[in-house]
Amino acid sequence: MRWIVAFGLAVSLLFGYEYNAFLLQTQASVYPKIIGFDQKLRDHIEDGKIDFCILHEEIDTSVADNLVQTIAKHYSKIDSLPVRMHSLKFAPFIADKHPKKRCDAVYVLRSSDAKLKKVAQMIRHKYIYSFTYDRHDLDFGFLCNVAIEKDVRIYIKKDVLQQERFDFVDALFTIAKIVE
Amino acid sequence: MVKKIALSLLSLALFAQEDIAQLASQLQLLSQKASQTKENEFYLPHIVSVYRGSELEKLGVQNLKEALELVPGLDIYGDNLDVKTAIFRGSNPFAYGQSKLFIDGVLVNDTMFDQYSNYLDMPIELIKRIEVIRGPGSKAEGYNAFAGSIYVTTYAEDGATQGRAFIKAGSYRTKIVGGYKNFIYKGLKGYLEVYYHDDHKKLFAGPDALATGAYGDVNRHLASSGDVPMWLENYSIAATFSYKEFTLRLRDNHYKHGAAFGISNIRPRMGDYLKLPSRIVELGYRKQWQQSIVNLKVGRIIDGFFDTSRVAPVGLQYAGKTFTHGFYGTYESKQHRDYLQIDLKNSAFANHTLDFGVLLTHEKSKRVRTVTTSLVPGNDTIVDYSRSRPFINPNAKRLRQIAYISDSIALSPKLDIYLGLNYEKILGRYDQLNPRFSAVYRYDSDNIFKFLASRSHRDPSWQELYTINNTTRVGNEELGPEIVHALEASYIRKFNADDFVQISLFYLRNKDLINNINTEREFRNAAKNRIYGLELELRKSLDLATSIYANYSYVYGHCARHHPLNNVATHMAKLALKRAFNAHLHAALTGRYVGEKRRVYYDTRKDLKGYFDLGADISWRSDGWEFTLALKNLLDEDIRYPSKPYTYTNDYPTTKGRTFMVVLKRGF
Repeated sequence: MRWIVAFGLAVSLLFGYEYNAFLLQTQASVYPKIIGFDQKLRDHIEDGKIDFCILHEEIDTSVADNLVQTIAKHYSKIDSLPVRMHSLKFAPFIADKHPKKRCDAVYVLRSSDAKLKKVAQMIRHKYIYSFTYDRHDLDFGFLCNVAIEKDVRIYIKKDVLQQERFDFVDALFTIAKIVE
Repeated sequence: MVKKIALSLLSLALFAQEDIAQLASQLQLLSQKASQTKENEFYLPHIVSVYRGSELEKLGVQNLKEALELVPGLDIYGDNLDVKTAIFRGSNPFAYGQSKLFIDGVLVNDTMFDQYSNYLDMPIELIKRIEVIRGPGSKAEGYNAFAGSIYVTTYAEDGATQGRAFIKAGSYRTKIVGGYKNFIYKGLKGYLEVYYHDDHKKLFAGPDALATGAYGDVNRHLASSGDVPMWLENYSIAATFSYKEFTLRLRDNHYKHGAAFGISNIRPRMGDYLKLPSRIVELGYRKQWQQSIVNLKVGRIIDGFFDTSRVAPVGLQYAGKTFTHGFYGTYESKQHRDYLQIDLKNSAFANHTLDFGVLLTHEKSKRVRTVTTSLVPGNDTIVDYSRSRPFINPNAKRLRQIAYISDSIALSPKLDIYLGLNYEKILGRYDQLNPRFSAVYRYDSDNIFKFLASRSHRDPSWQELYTINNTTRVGNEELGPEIVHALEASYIRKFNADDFVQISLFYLRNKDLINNINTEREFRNAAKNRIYGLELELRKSLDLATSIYANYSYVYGHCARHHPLNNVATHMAKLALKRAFNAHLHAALTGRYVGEKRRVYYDTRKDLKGYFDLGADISWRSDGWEFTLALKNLLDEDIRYPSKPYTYTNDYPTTKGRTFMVVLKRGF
């Protein structure tokens, strides 16, 4: 409990109003954990470290930078693999032909539908874990979202799960909701 | 080998299960926090709007009052002493206690008027979140909110090491300085908050009540127009200390305001003033055992009323006497409210969350002082009438016992219902039983329907019960509570994580409403009315940098004699448009239309004109510093609060043209 509160506080103080600070803190505390539930994680990390990228628009640089700092502070390792946090703007990421070399996981903040669609296409079949700020963005082809509804819920996109052949532990699906 | 692999896989599986259990536990805690902080507002059994202080700052909002003015269906009213109150959905603007204000969970309405005007100037920089529940449904079990309830949460909630300071300057020679600081020392979490507000506001008003003949034709010639004192000197200090399960909350609010339009609606002098002090001490204990949470609170609130002014000018003839030096009065009262609350929440039963508790309050007059010009003809000395003619019954006291129980039931994955019962007994007077039912149906994650049915009441305030020796208002100790029956329905459509539209319909049946419209000027349970209306609320991102918040409300009603609602705007619309130009610069426009207000049926004045209050804000933020310029009333509208008949014929002005505020803030 203390850990969650401390984690949340660090985030909530820093973010602007465009984003729901509580939702960001919730997602930032859960997303790295989800990566750790993939039983084949080590098979798909090429350089022995997990590059976790926050993709954002220019205007959200401070939001992304604060997310990077906060996640880095609380997740130096996932499943004993070191984590490297990066704040990346959408434009250079989209221009990159080899996204897997930059990122093993992406957390996409708000952007235009076209950019989100493009990012989702780029990471398809690249074995890149993908997380979104908005649950509705899963429809573009991202893997996972944590949303605040009546309770805090984890959503996992079924077709992305199947396409990428992620091998999450079965127990994860007892608390996550699979969506079509 | 096979055995080793099998053992290895088994240990992996067990390890994973343990981690999943931890994650599930984390989600549960986050869900609890989401409920506590109203992050899941759309799924709660209330019609609620939640505003984050940081968002409001970016709209140019400066204090709690301005924040409330953005709420759908909520208007602000100020009386002859500029004591303000929030009017929800056409609630009676002259009965302050129809809405309740809680600051960090503590009810701050005073005992004298049941008002909270002395907290409405609280700077927005000290407010983390405002939750406004419209209608009688209140989340704070035990307290009966009649028309609505407002929950202000400060940064005391955070408990991490952080702080912020701000300084403001603006129109009316306004100077505001304040800040807060959280600290942690060996398990002790502390929060300190302070602010000081000083302005020299004065407004042109009049002619005053003397012109109406309310004090007799013989005094009409004494009527005057001119500047009235609207200045404010307000300083407040608050502290919260938490250690393990214990929390101590302290708040001391000094509120000194110019006498505005005069205690008797006769124009006062610029130095005349009103004080509404409020002092709070609360000790809380919170303990969680698995799925049960016990909350215990014990506290004392000391509040008061102090008015010293020239009540009437030189030459007033009244009660057979000519006041050759004018009539001067000092009226002071001080009340204590002690309370004890024990609350137990339990979610051990499948699909049920039970909440039950008791709340005991004891209110008592501690001091009443009445010092006025002598009433004896030929004697103009100042006389202490505290014993012979106190203005409030000095022996007033009230004991209240409340017991409540509620159950939130998850009937299915899509349907939750809430059943609540609140029993209140005023010892020696009356008792009330208030049931509440609500249902929240989630068609899917983005489409939510709510239905609420409730009954609530408002206990009379001290002034309604115990005012004595006053010819214009006469207290009545036999008063019963005002009662409301409410039906509410709401539909919410979520567009994404942040954007939504909410449509709410309501029907209110009020009875035993208190007024003193009778020849004896005695407060009585005399009126009833029916009110219905709708509220539309929209939050939408127009692009990645621009967003809009807008709402519209319609309210209509009539009393038993079919007279339409008076002093209430049938139409209100609010708009806030904000745009971030880059990571440092952003701007906002706010607009507030408040429609015309009908007079009470026996008032021959024209309806009070509506107005459109347009504001703009531009802010620059860099390296922890923030500079803001906020402009208000850009259209130079004549914004007035309605006055009662036979008082200020031209109503109560609230502002003198366009105003500005510059703000410098720094986080640390």
